[in-house]
Amino acid sequence: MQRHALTRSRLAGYLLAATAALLVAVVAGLAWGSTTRNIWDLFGDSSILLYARLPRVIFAAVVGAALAISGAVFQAVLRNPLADPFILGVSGGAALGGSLMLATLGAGLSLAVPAASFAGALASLALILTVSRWLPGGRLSTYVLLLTGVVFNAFASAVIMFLKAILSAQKAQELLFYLMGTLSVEGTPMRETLALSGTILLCCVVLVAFARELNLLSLGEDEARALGVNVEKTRRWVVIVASLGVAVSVAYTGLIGFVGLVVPHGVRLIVGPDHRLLLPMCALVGGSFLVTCDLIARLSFSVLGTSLPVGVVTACIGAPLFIYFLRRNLLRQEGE
Amino acid sequence: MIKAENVHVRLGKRDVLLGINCEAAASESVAIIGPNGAGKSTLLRALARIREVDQGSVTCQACPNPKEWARFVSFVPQSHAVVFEYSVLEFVLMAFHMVNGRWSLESKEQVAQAHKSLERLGVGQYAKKAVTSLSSGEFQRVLMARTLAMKAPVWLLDEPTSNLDLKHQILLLELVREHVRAGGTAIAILHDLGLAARYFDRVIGLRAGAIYFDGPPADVMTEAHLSDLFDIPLKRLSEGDLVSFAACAVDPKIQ
Repeated sequence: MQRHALTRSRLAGYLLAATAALLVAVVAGLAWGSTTRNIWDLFGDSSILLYARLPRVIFAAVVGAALAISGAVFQAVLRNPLADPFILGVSGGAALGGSLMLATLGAGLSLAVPAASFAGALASLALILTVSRWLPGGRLSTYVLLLTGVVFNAFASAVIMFLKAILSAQKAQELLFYLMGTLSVEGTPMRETLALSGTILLCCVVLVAFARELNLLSLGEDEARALGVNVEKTRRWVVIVASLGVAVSVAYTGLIGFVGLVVPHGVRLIVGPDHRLLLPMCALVGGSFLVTCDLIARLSFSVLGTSLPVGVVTACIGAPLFIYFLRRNLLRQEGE
Repeated sequence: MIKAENVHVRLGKRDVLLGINCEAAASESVAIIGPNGAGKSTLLRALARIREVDQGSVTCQACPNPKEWARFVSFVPQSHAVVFEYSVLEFVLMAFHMVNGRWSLESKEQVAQAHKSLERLGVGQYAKKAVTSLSSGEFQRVLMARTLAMKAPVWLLDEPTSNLDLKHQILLLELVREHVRAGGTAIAILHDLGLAARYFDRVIGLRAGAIYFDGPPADVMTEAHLSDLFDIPLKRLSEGDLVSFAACAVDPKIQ
């Protein structure tokens, strides 16, 4: 590894390259689908583009950005490169909150579900951190954090299964559809698509604003404090904002796993861990990653006339990579 | 320059500091010595405002606003695990967190300053390497280089020589001396009593959360004081200006 200090030209170079990659992914996402056609023809027939593909591609891009950037933020705050909203149980908590709201009020996709997801995400994070601190010697070690996440996810799915069992067939169907981890958002009004995009964009801007503090926090609490960071305030805000990003994503698209793990790891390998560059890069690369995964999901089974939920694709890519990262991490700890 | 008044700190159910009063002036260096668990690290962390004090106050003449503490008081930890692979240069540049704006990058002067500090500590060749790849001694020098780059008037050093070889122990303490001669203040926890006596203007002996002695090394570092402080018979050995203290066997029959 050979890395100079972060300069404006380096920052601009990487961000331009990542933006270009995102644009390529978006154009590909718009051009290919069940009816593949020349992109220019598509602009002539604007109904498919505007009502089917564009909202879906926008959803994929912003949700990918939110999941990747919050993954990077959780990793810095917990000083654990394996933290990810899905593995930690934050996504599970958001899904649980959203499901409970859906089951009790059946509110469709109004604001009640995202709000309940947000509450679920924060509550689960608080619970997981409290439990892992309470366990002897637990203080945020990799094992304890991952295991409490696994246990919490199992618990959340049990509660969701319970809900499915006691609900009417129609409501259970609605719930299943909500949880599937899919980006088929037909029927979601453009207004909500824009609101979701706006919220996530705002989350990204706030998190990037905290990038310097995150650099110091990733060195440890004492170091951050000694170098002038208000640790409690910073941690509270970044965790709330990152959870908000995850929660609104989960509320609209269900559980899409591993994006928050795979993207920050990959980006860190290329640009290094400086969060001033890492966070905006994660947002852009996360967007391209999910748009591409969604394209794979839509195309891979198109001969059978069906498409995969995008969560299946991200899990197929993410699960083996997670094992690889875990091994690398443990090997390094052994070496210390 | 920096002053602790009646500082009490409780950690869990234990009273770690029991009303400490101490200060270090400009152009003064102070060594803190004492047995394990005496509260040395807690005192240094209280001075750095990393630990909150339960009672009493910590003030710094040069720093009117406590929010700006980190600009004036620089803390050098002993060592710690770094999880992410920051380059040595990126790590040292974090020193400028307090002086740079939220959206600004480090200036060319700051980068040059960081390189210069790394060179002073003999770790300039590692600037682009990952901090995680350094040995503990090299990392300790990088931590010191970060403080040197900041140019804060007060240095708080937690066992700054614990991982260093003899040459670099002397190099580091000469840097501390230079800083103090230029008007700075340094407070360091040390276990090497000879180095404490040789490089510091004053020595504070800390025992069970209270100050046992405080004064110039020649006055306070007597065999009787030190034997009592560390609860083991100590002999003072001297050769010209150099002094060292040798611990004798705990059981007098073995002597």
